[in-house]
Amino acid sequence: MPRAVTNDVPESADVVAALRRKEEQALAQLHDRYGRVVYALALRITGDAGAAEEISLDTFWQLWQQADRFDGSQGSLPNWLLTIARSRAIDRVRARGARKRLQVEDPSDVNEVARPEDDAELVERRGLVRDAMAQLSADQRTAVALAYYEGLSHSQIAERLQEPLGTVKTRIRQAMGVLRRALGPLLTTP
Amino acid sequence: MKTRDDIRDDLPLYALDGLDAEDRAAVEAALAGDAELARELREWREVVGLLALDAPNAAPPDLKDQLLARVRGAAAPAPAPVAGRVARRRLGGWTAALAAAAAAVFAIATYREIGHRAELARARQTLAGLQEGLRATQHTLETVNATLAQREDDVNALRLALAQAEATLAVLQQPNLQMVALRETADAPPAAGHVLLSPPSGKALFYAFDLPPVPPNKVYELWWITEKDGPVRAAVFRPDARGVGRVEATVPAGAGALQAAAVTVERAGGVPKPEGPMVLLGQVKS
Repeated sequence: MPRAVTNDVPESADVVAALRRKEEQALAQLHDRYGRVVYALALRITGDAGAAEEISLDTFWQLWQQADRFDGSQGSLPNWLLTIARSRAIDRVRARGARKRLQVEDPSDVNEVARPEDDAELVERRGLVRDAMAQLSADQRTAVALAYYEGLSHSQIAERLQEPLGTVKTRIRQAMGVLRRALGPLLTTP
Repeated sequence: MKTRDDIRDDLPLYALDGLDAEDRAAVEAALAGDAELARELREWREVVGLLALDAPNAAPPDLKDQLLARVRGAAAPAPAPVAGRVARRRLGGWTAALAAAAAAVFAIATYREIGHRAELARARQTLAGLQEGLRATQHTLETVNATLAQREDDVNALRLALAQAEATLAVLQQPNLQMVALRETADAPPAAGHVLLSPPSGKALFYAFDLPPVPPNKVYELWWITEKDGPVRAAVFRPDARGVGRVEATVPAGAGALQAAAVTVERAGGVPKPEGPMVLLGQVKS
């Protein structure tokens, strides 16, 4: 029977407190748990392994430097970490000027074998997220991916896809609704 | 004005950073002081955060050591003094004196080296801090620049719309306003247009609808057909993506009564007398 999965590190508050006390061990543990996810996200957005490495390092470094700024009432620690990584990666691509055109994968093509060092709970959560994404239509997945991985606004997406603005907006809203329902067990917001 | 339901509909797009400036500002204004909306936003942000797990798994190089090295480099304390390691054995006579002198020289050199190392560690720490500050500033600057460019585009679009609205209003407010309806000619694709004329002021405003696009080396040209001079050029224009053309013009003076208005397709820049095919025509009612 699968164990319950959550979207938060159980010891999140302790980890934040330790980071604020500048305890390297806390940073190392957080990196062990999320380093791979942060790197994968940065690589997916930039398509550049060197840039992904820099972004990963800078993301954890920012977390280390700015742990005092983390506000648990605004979201979980992993969420904050991934938001920093996503924002840095999108900025990097924009600064580079030549955006790597998005290629939306068919989730059925993603057939990865979890590595032994992967956190079991993370593997389970990843599976749930991919199941949720698989519930979206191809059009919905494309629109969400353009917003998430390329940081495009709905009007930019409409322009890119040559579709009416209202259609794109509705498509993203519906897709997000599907995802919220499917990912309900992972959400911690009361 | 957006309703609260409109704002709630926009929350998932806001969480994705997918709203344009105007919608984003509306959401942020509504969020202030609305705890329920803030709670919903947090939930949407959690959903967005989880999307990272959909990125294909990728094996990174071992970055943890680099990360910890950076952390230690930024916080490296001055090395502990090592002067105490100097030999303390008591030696007699010249040997002792020479040993003492050598020890003194070694101690001074060591002390200076320690000082240099400490200084170097402090400089490295300062440098790491400055580099991090610079990165953060660059990041902020890039974000601000992107926002500023978007706002400038918005302002320019609003200025253009305002100028057009003012020009339209200036014509509409004239007395004895007259409207000339234009229809497509026999061989032209379906389209329509109208001219709002104010004979006392000589101002006119022309709108066309459903006009097909013209190639880059062509334009549409509006003509006044007058009693004395025949066709008199009024203005050139290109329709927008929806096929709508809009142009302001002046009614010619001294050319006799205005009999009709027409639109032809001409060379880019326009021509003094019509050469190309006529696509719209409308008679002026006397």
